[in-house]
Amino acid sequence: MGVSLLHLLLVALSLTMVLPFIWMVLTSLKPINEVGLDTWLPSELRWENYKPLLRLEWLEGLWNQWFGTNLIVLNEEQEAQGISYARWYWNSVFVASCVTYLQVVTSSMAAFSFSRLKWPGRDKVFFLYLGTMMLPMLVMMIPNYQVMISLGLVDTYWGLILPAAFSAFGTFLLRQFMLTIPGSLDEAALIDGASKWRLFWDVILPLSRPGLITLTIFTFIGNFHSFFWPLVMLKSTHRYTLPVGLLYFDSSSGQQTNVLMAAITLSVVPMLILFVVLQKYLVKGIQLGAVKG
Amino acid sequence: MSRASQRKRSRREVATGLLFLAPNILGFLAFTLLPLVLSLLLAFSNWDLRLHNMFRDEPLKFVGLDNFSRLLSSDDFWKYMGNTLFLMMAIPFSIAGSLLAAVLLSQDLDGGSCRSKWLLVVGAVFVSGVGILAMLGAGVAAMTLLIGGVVGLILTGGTMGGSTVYRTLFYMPHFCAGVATYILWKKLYSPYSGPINAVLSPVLDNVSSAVNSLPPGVVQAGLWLAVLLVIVLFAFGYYRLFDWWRQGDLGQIGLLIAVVLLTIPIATGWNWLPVLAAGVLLLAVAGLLFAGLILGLLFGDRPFKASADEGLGGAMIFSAVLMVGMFVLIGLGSVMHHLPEMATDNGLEPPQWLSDPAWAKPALMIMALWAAVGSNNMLLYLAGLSNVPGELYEAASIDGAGRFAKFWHVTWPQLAPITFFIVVMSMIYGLQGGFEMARTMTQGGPAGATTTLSYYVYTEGFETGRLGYAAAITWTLFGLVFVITMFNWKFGNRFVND
Amino acid sequence: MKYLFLLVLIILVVAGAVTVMTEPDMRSEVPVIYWATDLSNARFRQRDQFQKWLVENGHTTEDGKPIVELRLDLIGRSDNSKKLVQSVAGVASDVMDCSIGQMHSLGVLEDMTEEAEGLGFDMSQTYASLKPELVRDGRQYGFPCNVSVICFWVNVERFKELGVEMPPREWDYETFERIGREFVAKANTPGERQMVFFCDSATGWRAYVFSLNMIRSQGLSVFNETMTRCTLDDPRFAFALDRLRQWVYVDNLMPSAAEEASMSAASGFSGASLSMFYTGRYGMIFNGRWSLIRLREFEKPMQLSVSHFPNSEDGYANNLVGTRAAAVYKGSPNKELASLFLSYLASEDYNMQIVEDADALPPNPAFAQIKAYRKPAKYPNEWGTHEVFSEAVEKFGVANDESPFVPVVTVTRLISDARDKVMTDPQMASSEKAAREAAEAINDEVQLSLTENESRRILYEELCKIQEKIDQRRAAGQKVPLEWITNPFHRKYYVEMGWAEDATEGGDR
Repeated sequence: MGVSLLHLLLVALSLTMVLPFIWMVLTSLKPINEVGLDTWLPSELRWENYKPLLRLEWLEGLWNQWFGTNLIVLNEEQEAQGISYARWYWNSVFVASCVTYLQVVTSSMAAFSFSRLKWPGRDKVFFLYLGTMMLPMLVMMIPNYQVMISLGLVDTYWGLILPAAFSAFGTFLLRQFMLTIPGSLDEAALIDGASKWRLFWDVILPLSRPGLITLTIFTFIGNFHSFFWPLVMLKSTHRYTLPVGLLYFDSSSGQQTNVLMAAITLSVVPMLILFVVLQKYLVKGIQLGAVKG
Repeated sequence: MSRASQRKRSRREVATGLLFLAPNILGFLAFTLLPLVLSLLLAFSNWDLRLHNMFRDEPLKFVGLDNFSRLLSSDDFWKYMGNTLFLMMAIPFSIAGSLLAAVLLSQDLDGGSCRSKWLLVVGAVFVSGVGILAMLGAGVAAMTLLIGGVVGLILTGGTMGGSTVYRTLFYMPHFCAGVATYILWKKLYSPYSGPINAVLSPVLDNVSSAVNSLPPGVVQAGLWLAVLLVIVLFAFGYYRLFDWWRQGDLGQIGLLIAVVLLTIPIATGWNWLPVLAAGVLLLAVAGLLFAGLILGLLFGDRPFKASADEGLGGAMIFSAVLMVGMFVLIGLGSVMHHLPEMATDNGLEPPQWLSDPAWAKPALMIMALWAAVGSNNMLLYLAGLSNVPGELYEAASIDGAGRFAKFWHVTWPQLAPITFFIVVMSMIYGLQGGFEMARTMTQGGPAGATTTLSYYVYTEGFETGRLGYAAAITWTLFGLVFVITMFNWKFGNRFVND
Repeated sequence: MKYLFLLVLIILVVAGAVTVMTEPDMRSEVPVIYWATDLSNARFRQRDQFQKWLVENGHTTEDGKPIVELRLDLIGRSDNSKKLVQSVAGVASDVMDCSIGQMHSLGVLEDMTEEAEGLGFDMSQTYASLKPELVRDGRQYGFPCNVSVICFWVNVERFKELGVEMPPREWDYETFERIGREFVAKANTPGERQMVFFCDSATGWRAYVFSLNMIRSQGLSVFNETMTRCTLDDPRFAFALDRLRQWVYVDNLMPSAAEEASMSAASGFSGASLSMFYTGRYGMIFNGRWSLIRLREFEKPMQLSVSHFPNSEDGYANNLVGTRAAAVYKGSPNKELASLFLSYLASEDYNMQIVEDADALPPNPAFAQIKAYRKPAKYPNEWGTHEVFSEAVEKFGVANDESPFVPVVTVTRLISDARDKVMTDPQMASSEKAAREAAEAINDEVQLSLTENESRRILYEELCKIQEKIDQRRAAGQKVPLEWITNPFHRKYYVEMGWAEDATEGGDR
């Protein structure tokens, strides 16, 4: 009985969480003149709204480039819609993956240093790290932009990846996770003659897997949505990330809210996959760790 | 061990420590620290994009503390600071919400065995099937049917997939990057057609007819009741704090902060009350109690001494809870006073939420609470919960601990490092928060009611180009966060190490 | 774990290689210029047409190719931050659609006066009322991509269906109210929540236009004649706010913010207003000619007419004109080639495209007189509407007040705050108080900007002296030399009121 009640409670909560999504999907299927009206349901399902997004000329272009002789010539409408969307989509996935990878690697090393190694001044340096999180990015943007210009990274993928890749947040998160791993494990490993390097790779990292996965999810989703920095950083349309590209549907000729919602609906997919795949390990990893410990 | 080898060892340790740090710290120096130091320097200058840029090389003047003094004397700054702090009052509730969600999700959802799980699944399929058929038969609107279908789907999925399914659904709002969520909440808050007010208005109609049937004096007496309750809470708080201090459970710093927290509602709230006498009464009684406390502290005997920061965390939580309670009571009291006239006019009307300067902030807070349930914090708590060794629960069961006692004595202390992390991050994001929301949802309005400090930084820096001033706002903000974090750190680390 | 990290690294490297290799070939044999503009399908067409135009007009390389390649740098229409950050850092696009006032105050725009004369895009090629938008201190900095003015679109069928008098082309507040009340009364069922409104509530920028037109019709503007002081602490502003409040809360002609939120949740420029207009829940919408871009996409063509902004009784009929102007970036390496683009904006090719797309008004007024503009063959339902917009610019158009001492965004924000205070809660602030506070806040900004910049203070003091003289003359009932006045509204107003000295009489300056 208790279990059924629990399920009902969870279903009720889930419903409120899913409603925005349902509304979004429904809106994405509406004809343009019904957008924004009170009714949720479209009078007819307009799958055409997805059409400009799902064109895969981009893949054909790839094919042509590798196996044919020349790049296909794109007409204006293709460039404006289908191809760019797929390209933007890919850009977002690529940039967010790179940022996530770099963050996980560098942050876990730094966190190891802050939680497992003893060196004078460690906590002071850590506190400095922590302090930098407290400043809004906005005010650092112009100085940061100057740095990017002097490194020649404006309008490049590196310009998107590098500034986001070294975060104090990830270090802080993983440090807190590593602190919960019992210290007796290190001692055992060190007595066995393991080096710090091995301690890091073979003991601490596997044990902080839930932390790493949590960080992966946060970073990927956060960067997939990042808007402001790519906006000022990019110039070439084909390097846009998705959130910047979405502005297209907000154009001066009036919002195409239905297509915008279709675009957002599709953009959910990679995050959903990542989340569904990884969340299993989020829990399992820890249980395994606990058994070993 | 000889001194030389010891030094050698410590040098080696530093080297290893820095080696591990290097990849992160190099990027950090280039992309965070450098711009940061620049922005700090510029906070003391008249850096203005209209004067200093690629094409205008007027010399940059250092103006000392001018930016800061202008800031502190500007009404806008304090107003937006107030907005920010007001919105931050949702943080404790958000944390509680995500903890609750995580605890719910980490329960055993299968009913213990494989058989009971399948029973559940069959039950869920049956219930949803019958429900949908019944709705089809009753010919309900398509929308109701759709929602019914979704509920059935979630129920079936949930019983089959367990917490995996719920967890994913809870996290759903975060996949949509705000835009859809913001637009949807605008719809939910629609004053005349939104579902929230559709539920509220019949309730309020009943309230107003109840109020109308009573003589106004009876309802208005509610104000005095509220004042009385505030005094009781206040006195209780002082008594507890004093007692803890005397018992050596609370040090001076903790006492000071807790007393300040407790006094804030009275100091700021007394003149919000619609009846001056009530406010004065509140102030007078509070003053007396305060004097009593001071006397007690000065002359009372204190058999057990404590270190200065002993018990800081507990006392802060305790007084914060009382503080929120007192604020709510003061607000309720004022509402009670005005209730009869409000009810006789037109009946009580539900709030206009985002269009009303007074309700816009609470509306945003409710939205933040909703978003917090399935947030990153929930994931952190989930990870933390699965980290709690099962033996601890078993041991607690043997001791005969109930469900609540287990949570309080096992789960909560085990989650301390995570809670600490979440509190620090929430404070940091809270003080920087509201930018996205203001940009996409309210544009800081109505009448500046939802402009937070970070949005203020944006308008100053990117509307008018006063980057020096914007940097000064940021660094003031930084100072504030820094102080708060220091406290968290001190209390948090103690808390964690317990 | 190690292998996992390695594997991911390899995947990422491969993905990176694919990403870079599949980038379209961006090399170009000729110099490239970027045009920072808002996203829309029409931009791609305009880009291609520019390349053709270059060839047709002989701007070619030796082998007959266009002398320059134009690329688009597409940005959100409301987002200024990108242009701002890039232009102060020296890497902005060569041609930018921007508010010339704001960008010029940053000093990042190139003076185009000589090029304009040489390449034929000087001020004679566009509306005279746009001069304050394009010219600073006598130098021209840009050329319009289009010209915008906002009027009332009328859903003719809806009015016929209800048997309500059709809104006339020109009207005053009284007529506006009379027709509006009748419309609202006939379209709604008494006792139920009001579902149909006379017109949409102007939000955002349109709200500013609404308030500004109303105060200007009474002879007041945001700033005084020399733009040194905000003059909104005036009963005339309070009157406008009160009248607006009456239209919303007493007559219910327009939805309040709360009602609007109840009807549509889409944010943005025209958001759901167009859908509501199409379905007849708004009898009129307050919007520009560009509404047609969307309206033409709707299933059935609407019977449309257009009315001017109503005028206060015996007031001064006016309407705010604006422009999306293109300017050349000072840091551009190809300024000469970029100025060719501005010259293209003045060409027939470009003007005809604006005429056909209905993307506001073409920059050159001559193209608003031709048949293709007035009577587009494909859309007979629109006949009779287009000329109202060109008339609104030519006859009533006045540019915005842009004081050199306060950014226009700040002024807009403070005015909309005042409007919010009055409109959202009638008890919260009296309109006089809101008006006074707005004026105070704007004047504080003026004073603040003086402390920041010495050269601005010198200009300010000079202008204040002139203002004093203007005030003295006005008080004595004398005429004022026109060149004393910098505020575009007052310039036009003084001339038409006969308060300005004829140029032949001359001033003492």
